[in-house]
Amino acid sequence: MPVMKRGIRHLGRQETRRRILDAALDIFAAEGFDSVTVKRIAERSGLTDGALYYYFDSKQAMLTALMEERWNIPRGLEQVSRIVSEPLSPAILDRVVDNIFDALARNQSILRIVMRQALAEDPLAMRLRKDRREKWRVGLLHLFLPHLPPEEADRVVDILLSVSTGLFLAGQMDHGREFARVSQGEQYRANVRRLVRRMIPLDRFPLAKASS
Amino acid sequence: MNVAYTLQVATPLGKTAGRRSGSAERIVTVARELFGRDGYGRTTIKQIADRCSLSDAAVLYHFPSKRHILEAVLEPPELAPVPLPDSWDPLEFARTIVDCFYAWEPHWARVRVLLVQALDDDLTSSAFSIALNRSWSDVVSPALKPHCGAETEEIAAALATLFNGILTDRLISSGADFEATMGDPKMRELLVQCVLLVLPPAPDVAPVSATG
Repeated sequence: MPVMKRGIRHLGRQETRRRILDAALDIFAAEGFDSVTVKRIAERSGLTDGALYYYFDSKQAMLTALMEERWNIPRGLEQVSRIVSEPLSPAILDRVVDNIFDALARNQSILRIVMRQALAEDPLAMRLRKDRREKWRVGLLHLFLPHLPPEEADRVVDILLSVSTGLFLAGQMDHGREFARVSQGEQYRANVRRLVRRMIPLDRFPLAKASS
Repeated sequence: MNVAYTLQVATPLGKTAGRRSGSAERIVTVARELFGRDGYGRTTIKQIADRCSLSDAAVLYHFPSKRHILEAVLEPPELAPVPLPDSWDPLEFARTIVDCFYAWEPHWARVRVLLVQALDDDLTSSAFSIALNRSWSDVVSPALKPHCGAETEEIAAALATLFNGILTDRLISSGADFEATMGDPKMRELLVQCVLLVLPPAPDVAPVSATG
């Protein structure tokens, strides 16, 4: 019995910590970092600020925990790696676009925070962002390298990654946090797919013939 | 709400810059630097005044509030039209348009302030971004029109997305080295190569596949 009690208490602690981070994620994503007070995060998570300090020393500690824990393992990237074996075509580009934008929508709150902090030259945010960008870069390169000269493959991947970042931020300006919903809409997607097909005109590259 | 605000603040694109007095111009320059480095929220009128060797009152004489200074910092540059090409040489046109892009944005630090404000849910930044997109099409499309015909608007949109994407991506990746990164001749060349992918090819090297 005592063991179980301890287990419950432990679970409760984890649960409270999670609730605090949920609240912090929401508030930082909506309002930035500087103007938010610890008291507000405490209120949102149903605690006093005294109790909150038991879990996190500072606002900065919550920010660090969020950035380290809440940027999900890129599921979109796994989906991309599943298309590697198929011959490159505009339809494949469309699927890549969809995978990237699904991931952006899913991670919108944490991305807003990381990008906001990276722009303020926060070293952790810059490192995490660099790391994630590199993972996507390598994943996407696998898709293009069999079909394009290395230099062109590099450029195409750079365009894809840069344009997604740019559109994410433009979307934040135009739609605020509604972007997550808007960017899942068929009209938005169709527009991005068309732009990307225009920026990466596969018919101009001497594609290696798929012999399979 | 967004639209009304756009009309209210962003109609005179870059019109006031030339009319500002020496002190006012200095205040904007210093504020651009401080907002970019420390964020709008954390910068005080006093810090701006100190750096300009002015009193707070003198700063407030030129700008009634910190928000007025922010609007002056975010004010987009006035875009000069892209020169009309005589004949269609995509490489030459790509170089021209990249040169224009560099000439249009004299203050890269402005872009950083704009993005940070957007992530802090500041409507002012949305207004300026929308206004800039509109004027981008106005100055780029006439030069494209004779050679791109019905595809002009879509090519202009693709170019805007491309420039915006690469600028945003590099701004987030390179932190304090951003100015050097953008100033590197390699960056210009990369932009030229990316623009070339979007532009229609020169007539004599057009792919002969369209025989059907």
